[in-house]
Order: sequence, then structure tokens, then C-alpha cells
Amino acid sequence: MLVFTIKRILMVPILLLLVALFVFVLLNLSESDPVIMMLPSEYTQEDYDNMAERFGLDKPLMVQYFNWVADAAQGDFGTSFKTKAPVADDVVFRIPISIQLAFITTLIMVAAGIPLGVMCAVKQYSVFDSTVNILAKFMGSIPGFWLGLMLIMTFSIKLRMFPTYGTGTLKHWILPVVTLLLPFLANYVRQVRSAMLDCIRQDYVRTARSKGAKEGHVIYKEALKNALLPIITLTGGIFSTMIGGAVLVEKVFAIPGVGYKIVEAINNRDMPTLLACTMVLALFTIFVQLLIDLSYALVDPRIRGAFVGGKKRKKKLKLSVGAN
Amino acid sequence: MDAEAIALNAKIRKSRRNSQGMEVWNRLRTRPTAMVALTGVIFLVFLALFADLLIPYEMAIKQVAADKLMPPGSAGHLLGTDNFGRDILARIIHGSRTALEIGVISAGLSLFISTILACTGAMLGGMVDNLIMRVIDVISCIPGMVIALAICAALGNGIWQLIVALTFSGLPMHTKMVRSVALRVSKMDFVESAVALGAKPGYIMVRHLFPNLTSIMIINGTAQVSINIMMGATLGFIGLGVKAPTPEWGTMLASGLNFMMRNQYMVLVPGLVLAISALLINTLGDAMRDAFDPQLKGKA
Repeated sequence: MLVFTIKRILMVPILLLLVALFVFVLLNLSESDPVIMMLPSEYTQEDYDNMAERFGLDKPLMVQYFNWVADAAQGDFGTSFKTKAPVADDVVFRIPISIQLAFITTLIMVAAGIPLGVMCAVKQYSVFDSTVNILAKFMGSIPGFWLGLMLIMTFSIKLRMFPTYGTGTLKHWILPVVTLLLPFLANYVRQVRSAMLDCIRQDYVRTARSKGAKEGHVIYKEALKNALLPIITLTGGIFSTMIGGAVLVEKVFAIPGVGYKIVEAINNRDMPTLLACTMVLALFTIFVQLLIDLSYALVDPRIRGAFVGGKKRKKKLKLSVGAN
Repeated sequence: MDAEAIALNAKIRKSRRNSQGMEVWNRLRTRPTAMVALTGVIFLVFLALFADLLIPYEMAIKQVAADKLMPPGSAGHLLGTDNFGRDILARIIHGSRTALEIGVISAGLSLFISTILACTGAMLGGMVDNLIMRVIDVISCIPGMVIALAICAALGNGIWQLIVALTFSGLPMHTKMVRSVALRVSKMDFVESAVALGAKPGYIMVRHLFPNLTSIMIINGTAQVSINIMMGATLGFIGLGVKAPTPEWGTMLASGLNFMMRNQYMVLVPGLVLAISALLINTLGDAMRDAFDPQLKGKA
């Protein structure tokens, strides 16, 4: 388990480097020259060269990449094309805001989604199941940003219950979290239900019932425990999509998070800021993926076994051969 | 062999040839929700194909200063006009063409590329497979929405740029999904016997892998179309969508934002149309999945 954890954690910086390279190349596909965009409409060749040198844009792409990595390792994520201020200062204070939005929503989604999904699976084809299913289908088809606008229109403008935008009090968070939550919760409930249905039909569940185990025990100890693995997987997948959705929710509700900055950076064609923000979101995703891989090992002893160090496994193998 | 036997033989062969498609259709036909969704989707496709016959394109881009911000139900403008005096109904109908164009082409392309990648990986295995999957792993660390945003930012505005962005953002998920099925199929007996008979990987891919992937491709493709229409509208909403006068639902929503207080229909109408289209396509996708594989029935 320890070896597995260390191996997995060592993968993170490598992944980040590759992600950075990918995004770096992607953003440089742009035809518009950032140097010209930063200069006033009339400029001399000398001005151009000076500006290019100041932002390191005169060097070849790969050199730019390695310079960026070297600086980023020291916490310097370059200078914004737009504000000419260090990018890191502008992005760092936004990270907690985005984390709050994404993680609060994920927590509520898991806390509400698993019980709902399990109840639907246990009472398949009941009125409750059908109602939840139809509701989920509707909610899953609504574009998140539009839902946000509709909520603002009803609850903020008409009923004046919540503020329209910004952060601060608890009231500010309710509409954004609901907006982000509903479409994802809808998909989550449907997938949890399906994972649970898979397990309920298994032989060991029937065996447990035939042995006279209580229904609660059968559902929560036998079925749910086995359904946990697929449920954990899909929680990770949904989290990654939700990070993307949060960009829009931050934009609609003017929450000063990383996502809001991304949209702003795109409109200004401010590549250093865009790169830094993308890296932050990639880091979120990688971190959650790491947690998920580790929790696999916690939940499933088979996976834990596969990552036992070589020596230990050989020892075990010998023991089992000896026993036979 | 007498004539009767030959006729019977031909009949059996014929019934076998179109069995899967017919079976799926027969299962689909008996479900009312599926038929409603199918009708809706066909209606949507007709709207997109024959938009010019229904309402001239000129109506969707013509700016009439006198007709600014007319509410729905006004004379000559069933759904009202926007802040430039353009007819909203015309923009919605012509916008359906943009939406379907973007959704269908990008979903098709991303399915096509990911199937080739996944099958090549699954067939050849070893280094090639490893390389493909590691690249996919790296890309899937970035949320699809953010990839699409970055590509759009780099390439600029326009339908083709949007299609490239959406194609790319769908790649990682499809490649992983198709690969898992391709791996399972490539271990089946008929593939192994084809290998034993000396068939080349390319031949096996076309002859044995692809036919077994059709159902998952149709199911995933339908889901991806609705995801991509939604994402295309989202990008349009941010201001990364198609170029200015082209009618597009997301851009319409964004332009309605400034008039949300008084003229709510400008936000309401495109959003509703978007949601209903997504609902129809999703429902059809779910029904098709049930029809293709009855064992999966009732699952999410």
C-alpha cells in the first residue's frame, strides 16, 4: 500500500509537466501574435523586439516551455499580457474560492446522490423510482449556465431572496451551488442506481437473503459495499466534468474564482494567465484522481494485493504453493 | 436439393442478414417514449435541413431598427425580436442548423478518431497501445470544457474552430470507452482464429472489430451529439462561438443577458429550445441503448 501510494504521488509532477506541455503547444497554435496585441497601434521594429524580449517570446517554443517550467517550479508563473503584473499573485487567492464551490457541491452531490440512487435501485420501477428517474432526465438536459440565469431571474430579481452575484455571505453561495449541483446530481443518481442494480442482481445477494439476513444488512453490507467501486470511479469522472461546469457558474454568478479568470483571460487573449489557470484546474483533477485511486485500494483488497511489493508477493505465493 | 429447400435457405439467409437492425427497430418501436423522442429528433433535423424553406435566412440576420425588442406574439414576429430588431423565431430555426452542424460533425469526428486510436491500440498492443493510452491519460487530466475553451481561444471564432475544439474535448472519454470494448472483442475466439489463419491487423480491425463496435458507437454518438450541442452553446455564450451575424443559440442567450430585467423572453426562448433539444436527443439515446442491449434496460 505504501509503495503504491508513493508511486502514485510521484506520477503527479510528471503528469503536470506533460499537461503543461500540451496546453503550451495548444495555446501557441494561435495565429495572432501576442507581441503585436500588446503594443500600441504604431510601433517600430525596436519596440517589437523589446516587448518580445521582455516576455521571452523571441525564443523558440521549446525554450519558452523549459523557461516556463523552471520559473513555475519557483512559483513564478510569468507576467500577464494584459495587466503586466505577475500571474501567480492574481491566481493564488482565487484558488480557495474555486475549491469551495467545487468541493461543497461534490460533497452535497455524494451525500444526496448515493442514498437516492440506492433507494431507486432497491425499489426499482416503483413510483419513487420513476419520479426520480424522470426528474433526473429533465435536470440532466438543462444547460447549467441557463439554469443559473433562470434561478437568478426568479429568486434574485423577482423574489429578491438571494443576491444576484458575488461572494461573501452564505446566501451568496446557495444559487451557484444549486446551479452546479442539479445537472450533475441528476446524472449521478442515475449512475449510482445502475451500479447498485448490477450488484443487487448478483448471486451473493440472493445467498445472503436465503440465509435469512436482514434486508438492511443485505442492501448496505452486501450490495452497497460491492457497488462502491464503480460509484467511486464515476464520482471522479463527474468531478472532472464539474470543474469544467464550474467555470461557467463562476462566470454567470461573477464569483471571482479560477474559472472566472479563465473566461476573462480568453477574452483578453492573455496566454500566461490562461496557462496558469488551466494548470490549477488540471491539478484539481489530478489530485481528485489520486484520491480515487488510493480509495480503490482501501475499498478493494484485490487491488491492494496487486500493488504489494515484489518480495512480499513472492513470499505469499510460496506460502500458498506450500500449502497446496 | 429441391426448389423448396433452396427457397427456405434463401429466406433464412435473408432473415439473418437484417436481423440485428430489424430487431433493434422492433424493440424501439414498441416503446412510446422512444417514438416521441424519435419524432422530435426527426422534426429537429427537418427544421435544420429545410430552414431556408420555412423562413428565409435574410429574416434571421436582417436588422430592423423600428422593430427592436418586440415581445413575443407581436405582429409578424411570433417569438418577438431581439435588441437589433431581428426575428427570434427565424434565428432559432436557423440556429438549429448551426447547432446540429456543430453537434453532429464534432461528435462524428471524435468518435471516428477515437475508434481508430482505440482499435489500433487494442489490436497492436504493447508500445503503441501504451503510447496512445498515456497521451490520452495526460489529456484527460484537463476537464473537457477547459480543453474546448483553450482551443477556441487559440483558433479564434468560427464554426470550424468550434468543431475542432469539441472533437478534441470528447476524445479521451471515447477512446477509453471504445478501447475497453475493443479489448474484450479482440480476445474473443473468432478474432483469435482469424489471427491463427494469418489475417493482418488491419483486416481484423475492419472485418471483426468495427462491426462489433457499432452498437456502442451509436449509443455513445447520440449522447455525444447532445453534449456537444450543449457545449457549443456554452462556448457561444462565453463569446467563443460562431462569428457575429450567424444565428446560434448560445450567442442569442448571451445577447439577451443585458436585457434580462425587462425582456426575459430573450433568455427564456433560446434556453428552452436548447434544453428541449437536449432532452429529446438524450431520451432517444437512452431508448436506443435499451434497444441495442435489452440486458442494460433501465440503467442509467
